[in-house]
Parts: sequence; C-alpha cells; structure tokens
Amino acid sequence: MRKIWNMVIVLMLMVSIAPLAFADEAVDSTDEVEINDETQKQVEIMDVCVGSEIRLLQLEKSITKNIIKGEELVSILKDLEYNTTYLEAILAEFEFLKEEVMDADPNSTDAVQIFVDLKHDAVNLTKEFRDALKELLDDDTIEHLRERIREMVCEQAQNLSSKIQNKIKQFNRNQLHKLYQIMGENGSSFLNKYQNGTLTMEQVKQQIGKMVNQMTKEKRYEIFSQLKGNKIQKKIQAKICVQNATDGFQTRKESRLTNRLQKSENMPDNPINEEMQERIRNRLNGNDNAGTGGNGNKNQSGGGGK
Amino acid sequence: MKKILLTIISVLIILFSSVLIFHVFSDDSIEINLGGEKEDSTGDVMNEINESLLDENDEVKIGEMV
Repeated sequence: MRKIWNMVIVLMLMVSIAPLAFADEAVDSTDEVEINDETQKQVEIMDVCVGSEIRLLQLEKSITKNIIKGEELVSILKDLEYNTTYLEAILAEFEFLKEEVMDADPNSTDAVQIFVDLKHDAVNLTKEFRDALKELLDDDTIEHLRERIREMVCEQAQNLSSKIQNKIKQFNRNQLHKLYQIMGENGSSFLNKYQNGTLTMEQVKQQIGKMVNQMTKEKRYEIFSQLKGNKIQKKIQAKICVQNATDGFQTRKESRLTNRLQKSENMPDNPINEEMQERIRNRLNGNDNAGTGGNGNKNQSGGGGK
Repeated sequence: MKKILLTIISVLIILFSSVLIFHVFSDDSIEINLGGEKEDSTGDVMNEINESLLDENDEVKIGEMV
C-alpha cells in the first residue's frame, strides 16, 4: 500500500515538474530577440567575407532608400503645414543607423551579430515612421503618398545596387568555382565570362546542367550528397551564429542607444535633435514604445497639424 | 481503495505522456524527414546548385515607410 502511495507522489511530482522544465527555455528567452526565417537565411552566406559585405551593403541600400523616401514624405507634409518634428527625429536616428552600418566591419567575427542588431533597428525605425504617419494622416492620404513615392528613383540606392551586384557576382563565382572542383572539372573560362558579363548566370547554369546530365548516376549522387552536406553545414553554422547573436541582445541595444544619444547631445540644439534624444531616453528608460514622448508631440501636430 | 489508487496512477501516467507528446510535437526545432536519400536526379543536383547561388537582385527587406 505504501509503495503505491509513493508511486502516486513520484508521478505527481513528475507531472508538476515537467511543464516547468519545458518552460525554462521561454523564461530565458525574454531578453532575446526573435529572429525570423528570412534573417536566418540571409545570415547563411555570412560565413565568408564577401557574403558579409553583400548583406551589409544590402542593409545600407534599404536604409538609404527609406531615408530618401522618408525625407520626401516629410517635405510633402511640410508643404501641407503638418508638424513633422517627430518624423524628422526618426529620420535623424535612421542617419545614425546608416553610419553604423557603413562603419561595420564585414571581416569581424561578430559580423552576423552586427547585421542582426542593425537590421532589427532598421525594421523598428521603419515601423515607427509608418505608425507615426498613420496617427497623423487618414487612409486615403496615406494611399496617395504611397503611390507618389512608389516609383521614386533613388540615385544613391542605385549606386549601391551596382556595387551589390558586383559583389554577388563575385560570391556566385566563388560558389561555382567550388562546384566545378567538386565535379572535377575546369570551368575557369565560363567563370571568367560570367564575371565579365559575357555569360549570364542562366547560361552558366545551362552549361553545368548539361555536364551533370552526362554524368553517371553514382557521380550525380556523389555531387548531390556533397552539396547537401555543405548546405547543412552552413545552416548549422548560421543557426549557431544567430543563437550567439540573440545572447545579450538587450545589452547591446542599450549600448547602441546610449552611443546615439551621446552623438546627438554633441550636436547643436534644435527641436529635431531634442525630439530624437527624448525618443532614445524613453527607450533607455525601459519604455520600449519610443512614441510615448513623441506621441504627445504627434497629437499636438495632429490636432493643430493642418 | 486499491482501485482508486490505480486509477489515479493511470491518470497521472496519461497526463505526463500528454505533456511529453505535446512538447515534442510543438517544438519547431525537431524536424522529421522521411526519405530524402534517393534524390539523385539532375533536377535535384540543379536545385542544390541554385540554392547555393544568390540572385543578383536579392535584397534585405526592412519594410516600407508608408
């Protein structure tokens, strides 16, 4: 009888402890950032320097485009006599962020961490700008503005595009070179033509396709296994890097915000700078909704904006 | 009395198993891959090659401003 009671007690303990054990992971992750599959995939090429260069340049391009579009939107709203201080404060912080991306070292062992951090900031600032516009304008006006800036050509972004395309060509060339080595072939003439622009990627792929077709089933399987193995290795490496990037995310975020605040304090006083400082202080004080300070401002501008 | 105790034990075993099964099935990091070993055709090799290359127009998306 006593044995049965002991069993009951042990089982009850197991049932009560099990959820706690599984919940442990969730408790630990409160300080972490959620990294989506897209970012995870983007990080996979960052095991080589040219891959890190590509990702940082692409981030710089996206930020540049958003700054230019944001400035255009602010200029339109100013013409309509809206108070745009809050929006301009977001753009000013975007400029700081852009400098941080440009200063990032793609050779650094922390390149993935830097990319994840700065991309996270870029996504957040974009969202804050979008949300601020929503509070300021009605849906029709927003739709009209969206149409107006959709086709905007950003010269700075275009310059970055060609730089990125050259880096991607270099990356693909390296990948194809490895592939030719796996196949035991010499593809240097094709690779040179691809890099010169004489051959397109599709044409190179067609040529490789023909070669693969002529191979024995065993050889094809050998190549497939090697490629698959390399891919899995890259995925595991990326997962480890991303996991490392999530550790201490909050601390690094605070450090970035403090740096931006100091930079801003060293600049001449003006309403935009003051608004930016208030936004940053709000977030440093644990109020993650940066708009709290700015919301009042937005309401003022919204109320008497137009 | 024994019957009641046995019932309690059974219920607890079922509960514990349920918690365990729920955890295993709700964990995204556990992937079950059934049969990917026979992929040896040219198409599969080309798919692997495609995945190792980058599209020249690839970009990092951070969202739209409006």
